[in-house]
Amino acid sequence: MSALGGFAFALLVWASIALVLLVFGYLVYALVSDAAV
Amino acid sequence: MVSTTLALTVTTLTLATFTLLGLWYSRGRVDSLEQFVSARDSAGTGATTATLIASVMGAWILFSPAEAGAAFGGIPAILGYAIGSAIPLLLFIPIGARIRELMPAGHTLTEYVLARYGPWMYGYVLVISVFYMFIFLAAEMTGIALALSLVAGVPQWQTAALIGGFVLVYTAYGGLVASIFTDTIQTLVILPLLAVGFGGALFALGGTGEVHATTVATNPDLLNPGYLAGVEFGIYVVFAIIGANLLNQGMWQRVYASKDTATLQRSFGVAAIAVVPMVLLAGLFGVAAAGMGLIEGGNASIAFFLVAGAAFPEWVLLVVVVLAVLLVMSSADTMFNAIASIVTADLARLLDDPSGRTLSLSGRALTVGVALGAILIGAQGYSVLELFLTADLLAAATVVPFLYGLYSTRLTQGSAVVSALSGLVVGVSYFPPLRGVLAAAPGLTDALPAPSFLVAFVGATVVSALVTVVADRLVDAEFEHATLGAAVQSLDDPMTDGGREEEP
Repeated sequence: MSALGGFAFALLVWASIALVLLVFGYLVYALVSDAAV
Repeated sequence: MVSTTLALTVTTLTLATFTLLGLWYSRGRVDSLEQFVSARDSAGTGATTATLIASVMGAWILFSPAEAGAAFGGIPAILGYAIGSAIPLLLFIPIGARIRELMPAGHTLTEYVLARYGPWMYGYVLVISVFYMFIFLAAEMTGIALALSLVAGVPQWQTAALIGGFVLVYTAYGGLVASIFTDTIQTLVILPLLAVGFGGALFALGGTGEVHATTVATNPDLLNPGYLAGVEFGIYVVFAIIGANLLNQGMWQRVYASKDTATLQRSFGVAAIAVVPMVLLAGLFGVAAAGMGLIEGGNASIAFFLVAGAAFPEWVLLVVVVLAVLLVMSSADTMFNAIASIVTADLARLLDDPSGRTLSLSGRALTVGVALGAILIGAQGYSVLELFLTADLLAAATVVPFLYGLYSTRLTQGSAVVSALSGLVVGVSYFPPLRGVLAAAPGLTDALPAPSFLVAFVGATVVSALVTVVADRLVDAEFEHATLGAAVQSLDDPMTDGGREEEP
């Protein structure tokens, strides 16, 4: 049970970090696209 | 502990850089009060998304989510915080489109209330909205002053004066245009800093497995998604955040600043996705702090800094200082301009044919007044939590009748006020911070129910919503939404400074 909890905790943490970086990537893309219009 | 001089130098450099950027960008772009308060149809998807993230995510994310994670219920409390932060942004997708459709030339939420309901509801919403925004601002200034005091021993008045002063310079000069531009750059710095910072902290603490195992050993409830205290906090914080954010003029300004409705909807959607992991990561610092046994004697609100202090060397703490300063700058400029805009737009209506110069000077003078008030309060180190919760409760009781009129033709001013007050009566009856005041009234002590934040916030929202729906069915009235657009007064007179002077 603890192993499953540990996996869920790790998933929550790393998925959050990945999502923040993904949004950062999208923002850069959107700003470049906006500037190109 | 970072040296005070070093922290002040880094803070000043950060502030000066963004102030210069704000001044440079807004030079020649703010040619009317209309631009100063609305920046209408000017921001693309990237800028709108970034400014929404920056405006919503203030320095509070370094305090409140971590405190929730450490002291109010662990994972479920943080999840509630994260979801609650995203919901208002999602609600603005349909509501923002509706606002732009009904009042395409609008500026403020109070313009809508006055035109849709009348002076009583207008006065009520004006007070609640300005009260909430000012408390938000004061909390931000208090938070950053506390943060720099903790990390580097900087006197609180120095931090408040520095941040308030620099932000004031570019906000008073460039208004919303400067705010959106600096927000965009700040978000591009904040997002990777937060992600890499949290990843780095975890690495320094031995990885997720180590943090999890330590927390399981010391405080397993914090990791239990069904932990009742956490679930309760997670539910009421959702209701607290939704109402307050929908009554936030800063959000309404960005509805109008978006280039078009599709941009608005895309940007609010992406911002909603972005804030969830940001709040989660910040909150997990609290869980880690509690797991590591760093929380003692009511210091849960500084859990983020306790973990950062344990995990990072001194030079990385300076990066944390930069992160905190950027977070507070991006929210403070939004609030400075939002409060100033709400009053300036009303002045345009209340004064007898004011000139553009009068209005633009008023807008800037108001920005200065708001900034001075925020600096003064931020320097005192007050606990503003109870005021914050009170503002949230007022907003929770008001938000449904406030917005219902966007769609209903039958809801009258009387119905809206009665609905909001009904919700407020229920909310106040259960609201723990006001229990002492209410209990002092003769004969009321025995009649009062057991205090509960959950019942107060959910009750205020649900009761006001129910009364709104019932009143809407019972009262026979017919409001023409088409009249809303015509009720807005243009602020389009040229400004005499801050914008490009036309050659004769």
